[in-house]
Amino acid sequence: MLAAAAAGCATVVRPPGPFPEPAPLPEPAARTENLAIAGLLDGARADAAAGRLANAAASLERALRIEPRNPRLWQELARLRLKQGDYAQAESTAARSNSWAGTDNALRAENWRLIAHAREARGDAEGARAALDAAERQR
Amino acid sequence: MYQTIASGGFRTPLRAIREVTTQDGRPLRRYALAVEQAFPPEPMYLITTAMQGVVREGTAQSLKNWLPPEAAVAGKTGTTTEQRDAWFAGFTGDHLGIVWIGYDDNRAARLSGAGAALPVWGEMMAALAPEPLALPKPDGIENVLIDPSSGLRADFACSDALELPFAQGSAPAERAPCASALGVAVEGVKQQAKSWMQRLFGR
Repeated sequence: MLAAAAAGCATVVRPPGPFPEPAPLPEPAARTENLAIAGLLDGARADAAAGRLANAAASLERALRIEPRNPRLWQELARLRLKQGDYAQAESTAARSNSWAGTDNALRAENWRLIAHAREARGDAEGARAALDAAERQR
Repeated sequence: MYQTIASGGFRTPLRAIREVTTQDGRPLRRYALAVEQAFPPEPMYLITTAMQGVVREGTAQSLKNWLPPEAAVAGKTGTTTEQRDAWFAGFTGDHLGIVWIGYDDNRAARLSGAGAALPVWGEMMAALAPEPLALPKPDGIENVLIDPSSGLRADFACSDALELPFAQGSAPAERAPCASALGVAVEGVKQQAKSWMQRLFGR
């Protein structure tokens, strides 16, 4: 799925492949969830799907003010930054999600895949490969 | 600077304004949340645990008058030369605060960080009902049993041995006088088994 990145293309940012789709919300027992967060997350996803990316980001930021240590929220924000074309922020935000991910290997792997997309979009093919390797290792 | 440490290495520029809207709430300009991983988590973890030591048994011990030990506050007192300024910087699980006390003409305030700035911080923070500071232990950190008097590797035979965090591979290799070669090897295996169990069953 990773398009072959042209090594010499320093000035052209290659649009990344299809964005990974958000995972379905996990069971509530897996984390401390409350209705406000769920509402904000649903709203953010709807806004993002409709192209209202800045609104979606604002909802996610509100959700993060309620649960700043929730790795799923950070991951959702990273996904949004990819859609917004802010690849540096997509990578940092996915890394932030990883810092709270604990032993959730599936979540970590997804973060590394997001990082791979972001790196590929910035022309860093080697970095993207390294990130995909890291995603594979999360098992 | 402290914000970056408190967040485990992720610098997040402070925003006093998140959004500017029209009077009916339509956003005109947004200032987005931005993060930058300025440092890997391991050195941040080491600094933070050292700062927790400052509060637990160092110059910031009097903080217990305002916050319980379970809060696991990380702090740093500061007193500048000739007692010009008194500082206290500290963070809990959800708040970071820095207190500076001094004169605006740089003359000596004759106050210490612990004596003057810390109480201000303690009173302010206690009123916020802070969350305890619970740091996730990064992958690149290992806990090693150390003999405090020699600073070298200890085993169960050493009476005051402390478990201290180190960046993997940077702990002293040499054995303390109180320890035996077998004892140190056993400690090493125990630590590896513990890390393996933590990875398998949760941090």
